[in-house]
Amino acid sequence: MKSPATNRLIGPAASVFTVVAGLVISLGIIAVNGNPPVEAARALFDGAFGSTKQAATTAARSIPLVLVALSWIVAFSARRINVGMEGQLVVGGIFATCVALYVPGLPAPLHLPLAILVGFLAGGAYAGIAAALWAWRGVNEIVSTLLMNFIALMMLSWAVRGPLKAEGVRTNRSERIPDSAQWPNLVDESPLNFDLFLMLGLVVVVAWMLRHTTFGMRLRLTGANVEAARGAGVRTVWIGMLSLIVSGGISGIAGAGLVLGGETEVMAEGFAASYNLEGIVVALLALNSPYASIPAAVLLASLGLGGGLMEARLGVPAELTLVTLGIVLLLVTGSNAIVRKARSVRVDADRGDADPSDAPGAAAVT
Amino acid sequence: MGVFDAIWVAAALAATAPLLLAGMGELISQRAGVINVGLEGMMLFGAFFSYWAALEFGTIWGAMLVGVVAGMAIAAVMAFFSINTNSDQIVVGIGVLILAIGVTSSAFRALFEGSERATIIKPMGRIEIPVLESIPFLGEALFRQRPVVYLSFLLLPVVWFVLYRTTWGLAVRAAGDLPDAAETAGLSPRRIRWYATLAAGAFAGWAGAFLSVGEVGIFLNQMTSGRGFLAVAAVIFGMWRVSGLLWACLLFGATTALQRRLQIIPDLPREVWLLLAIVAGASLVYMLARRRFDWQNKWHVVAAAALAAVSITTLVLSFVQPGITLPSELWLSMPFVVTIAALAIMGARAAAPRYLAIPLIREHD
Repeated sequence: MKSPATNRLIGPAASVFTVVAGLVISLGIIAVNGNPPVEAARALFDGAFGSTKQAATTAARSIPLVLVALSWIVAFSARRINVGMEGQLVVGGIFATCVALYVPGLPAPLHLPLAILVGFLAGGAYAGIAAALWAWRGVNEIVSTLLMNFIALMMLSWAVRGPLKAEGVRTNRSERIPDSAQWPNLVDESPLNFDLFLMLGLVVVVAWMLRHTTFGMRLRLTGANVEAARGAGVRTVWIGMLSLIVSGGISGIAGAGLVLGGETEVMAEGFAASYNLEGIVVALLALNSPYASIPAAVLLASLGLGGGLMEARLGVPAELTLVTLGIVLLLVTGSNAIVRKARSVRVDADRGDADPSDAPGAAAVT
Repeated sequence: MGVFDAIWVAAALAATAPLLLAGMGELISQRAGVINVGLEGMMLFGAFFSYWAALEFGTIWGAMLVGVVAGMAIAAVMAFFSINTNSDQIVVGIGVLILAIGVTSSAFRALFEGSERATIIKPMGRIEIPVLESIPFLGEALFRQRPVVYLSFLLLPVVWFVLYRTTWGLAVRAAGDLPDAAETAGLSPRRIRWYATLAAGAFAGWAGAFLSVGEVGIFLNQMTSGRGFLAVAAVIFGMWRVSGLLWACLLFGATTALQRRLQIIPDLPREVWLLLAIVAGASLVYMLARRRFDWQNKWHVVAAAALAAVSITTLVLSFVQPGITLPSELWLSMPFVVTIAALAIMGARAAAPRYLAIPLIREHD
């Protein structure tokens, strides 16, 4: 019998260990290719934290990552898998842009929050479609949210080419976001805005909600054991739907933040970048803990930015950081699965003879 | 006919081939219970390593073989983590995808970028089928393709035969539907899943190789551009059946070919909407003719009414208002809307392998 404290530490320890292992493997690859690994490591670090501006950029880059990770965590706490954060983020961004551009005459303390709120609602509504299809028609949410990413990207492409297109410019982009709807800058001459505090606040709110509210309790109960939750009187289908909707809403906030806090001050195609996949990686690295997703997001953002400098200084391809990421992700999931198995008491209770369609991550189109 | 000419049909078939190849692999692995969202990464592996091999050894067929092996190599990673460590298949698939993007892009840049070695090789030649090739329209549309395109369509019945008429196929389907029964019968469902995942990697690697050395002649970063995800969607849209996979891939291939032709045209010409009317009408007839159609089921009736409404509206509009234009994005998102709608109407509950994406945990490991 291990003590509960050791048990609780195994997971995070495995996470940290695999991150280190992933970095060491990547530096090994760099060394094998004839580049000094110490120089590479220094370039990685300088690129991410070398100056105030770079540190601020890293922080700014990690904001959407944390939000997307929170999004995944909320859905996953009820064992619903949302892989459509990209779509929800894009839709949130589109609607926030609409509010920013077409609701004139509001002072900044009203305009910006309104735009973000609409982004939240739009993202939630978009995820709500998948949630409703899951609840009423049994359409698996992994499939529907994945496909709805493509639809949202089409909507974005149409929006910036058609109705939202700025006049008199050749590129497909929206008009400039008015100052009253823009996030004020936190660190001068850097992309870091005051939405850093919104992100931190949301982390606290989500963590608190999951731990200390009835709703959070119901989410986790549904996620842990559907049968037991139903037996305890939880409306599990409704809770599952809500988890997806809230999850989509958080992604919508991320999308609104990307547009309203973006350096270009306009909305254009591709503003969603690759935050979907990277956000999932953050959540998995953080073992689905809201607080731990902050360091995980900073790690990811710094790998991305440091990779750029590593390439400039040493000619090592920046994409090598993706290799690191892939290795880390595989090792984290693998080691966690093994850790889970080691705590064998839980395994039978988790899986047991329950309906396979209720198992975590069951991708069966049920 | 405007954009719907023989060139479009030929391009549609060429765009269908890689989807079909990757889709066949995904079908096998999903029937065995492994959902493989890393398919895109396996295609990238095939695309990159076959290009490398083509430069190194000079034979395109040999290069394709290397692509197949590379796909299987990365599939082994997927199989190890999802089967041996019982990790979540979706998560492992995403990990495999990221790893594959990283490995192929950085290896391509390290090996080829800035060096004169990164040349465009001569892609696979087209084969014109004698006699058939000279039929007007059909000849140009169907019988002047690259050999892999013919092969991918010819392999489809083979995959059907293997899945439904051989013991190996029975074992695969059992691993996805009744793993306990398979175990009782002395099979190892986990080993079957390993083989099925490797098969998916082989097919996907081949599909990727077809893209790089077969069609374009060079590797480009992330050149699969979502085709792996489309293939996964095609398997699901096709309700885990071989024939369904074919129709889904043809639909996606036709749309892709249309997209390429429409890139210069911002708004859709009228015939696109006429085609939509025809497709909606045909699906309506097909739906009503099926024995599974049930007038008592309100969802079936709603679906039929929606199809009828779409076909009538588009038909009427294209004649009454011939000048009407609608954004091409609407058309391009159609396959995804249709897939979701089809899943919602039919309720895929019965069609999916029962143990899809569920790790098989053995009692005595």
